[in-house]
Amino acid sequence: MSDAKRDIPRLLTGIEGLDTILEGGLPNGGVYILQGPPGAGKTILANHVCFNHAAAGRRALYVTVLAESHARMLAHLRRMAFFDPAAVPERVYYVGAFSALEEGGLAALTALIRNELQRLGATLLVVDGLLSARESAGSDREFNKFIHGLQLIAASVGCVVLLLTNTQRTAEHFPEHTMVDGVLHLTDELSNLRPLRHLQVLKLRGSAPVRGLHTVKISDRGFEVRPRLETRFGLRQFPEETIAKGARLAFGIPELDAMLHGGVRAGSLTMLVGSSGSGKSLLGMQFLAEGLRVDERVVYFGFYERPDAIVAKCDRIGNSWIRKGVEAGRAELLWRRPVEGIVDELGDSLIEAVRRNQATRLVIDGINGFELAADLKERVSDVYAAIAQELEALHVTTMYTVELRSLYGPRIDVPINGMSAATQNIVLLRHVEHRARLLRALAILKVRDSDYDAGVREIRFTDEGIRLLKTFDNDPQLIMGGGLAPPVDADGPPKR
Amino acid sequence: MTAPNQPARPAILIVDDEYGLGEMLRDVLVDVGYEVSLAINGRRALAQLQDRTFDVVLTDVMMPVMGGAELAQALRADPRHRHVRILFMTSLLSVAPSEDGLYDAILEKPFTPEHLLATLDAVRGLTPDA
Repeated sequence: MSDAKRDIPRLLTGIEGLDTILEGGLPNGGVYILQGPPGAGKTILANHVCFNHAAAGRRALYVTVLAESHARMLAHLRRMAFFDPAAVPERVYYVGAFSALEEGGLAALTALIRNELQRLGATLLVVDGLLSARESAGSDREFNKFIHGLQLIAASVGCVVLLLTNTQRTAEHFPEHTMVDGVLHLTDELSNLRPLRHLQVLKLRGSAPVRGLHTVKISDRGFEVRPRLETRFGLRQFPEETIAKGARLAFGIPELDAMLHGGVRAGSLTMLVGSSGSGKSLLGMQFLAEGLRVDERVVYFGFYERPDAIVAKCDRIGNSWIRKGVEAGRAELLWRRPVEGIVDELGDSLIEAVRRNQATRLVIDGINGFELAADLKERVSDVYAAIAQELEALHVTTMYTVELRSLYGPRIDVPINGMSAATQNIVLLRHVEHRARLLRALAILKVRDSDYDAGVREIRFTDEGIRLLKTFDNDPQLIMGGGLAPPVDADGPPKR
Repeated sequence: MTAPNQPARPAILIVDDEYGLGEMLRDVLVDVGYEVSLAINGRRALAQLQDRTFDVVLTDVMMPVMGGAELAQALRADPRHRHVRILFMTSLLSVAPSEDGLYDAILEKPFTPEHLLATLDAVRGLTPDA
């Protein structure tokens, strides 16, 4: 894109994600349709932009045409963080225009808008209720003339015009779509009882917006939109050789570090896969503890256990480094609920935490939390790949835990497409039956570009820490479905 | 037409740009004996005030062409209308108390008919300023 195109003056919406999607905001002097079904957030988005505009010292005019009453609208807006009562009416001015439309048709509405923009010196205009204007037009031609009139006003005053209208589907085509400078479409749908809101830019003249669906959240903070993380993460390619030649980071468990010939490579991604209760989280926390011991900064990002529970759990096996690290500000433990989250928000939260802490070690406990939070299942693989690549680019050494569906048995299903392809190392933890006792076993299944000890060890979590024992060395026939470590296989039958 | 010996009905001018609101208030007020006129902005209200007077002006604050504050200033500056009772109807919490006598009371939107009538009674009972 040329510099000239980039230099188009734009009105910043002040909504960070939206300005990113719009390539820096809405070009000045343009008319834009903001459409979507009732309840999709059009009014909140428009008001949020108005108050951000006012906060920047400029004026906005909000014209309603047989839309929600101003009293009710303002009552709803009062709970929003962006709402500033002091900005009304000096910098955000609301007028009703349906009476003028009834009296004098579209010509009167156009005149009212033009006069009010001049009277108030507003540089942002919202017309809420475009459908009413359309219905009062005698023909498409007359309505298009009205839109054209707004374009002339916008261009002459240098203001941005947002036209709010109801529509159900993106595929619905209206003649005015060809005339306006942009069309933003909002959706509000249910997916398995979960409400899903999205924003899509159908058109934006003179710009290269981030296309596709972007998740929207409406809360007391107002209108939030997050560009799909696949469009932002993983854009920097990180050469695999750099990781292969990187320093080795130890777990601080001598036996395991020996099996790994010193540890995992800096910047690598390691899957800790195992059945429930097999010790995946504790092993990950031990990796963080060792980092803290050698003065590194670490992050724990989990979906299931709260930070205080994690700290207490570590304390019980003599791992006090986590508590000390948190107290010293060198460890940050984050807990997120996966089900009601938005996968893009979670991804941002994870990456921001790594950046904020300048972390060199990271544990993601329960990676499938991202999958549970994904709005569209077909995105999951791309989301994992993007997160993996971004972590690689940040050169943080990452452990992520994956829970096996079954406690026993030869089959190992690892449905983490996208992430597993980028994973350098895989460590398996399972319960095994051994001489009428149920023990925990650890085996290394994969270390990319490096040799490793493929033996099966017993892993014990004691009051003094984690120990690996050669319990099974003389007893290779473990009773767990015929063998301990069949190859990882996502779909096919178990391989021996 | 007012019957002989029957007191004239109090006249009220409702000024609001929100479609349907003025008509709804008019229905409420006519039922209790007011004579009601409507205008959709301050300038239209001033045009009506050229030919006659009202006991009360019940006006919105934010309106196209001329807002409620400008209308009230124009009325207070006009010797013919300076004593008219002015009620602001608004959703704005930022409207300052009327220390300079610009208006006589505020009705915060939304309000009930009972609240409207009680406020009107209170305002009409005020002694006109000298």
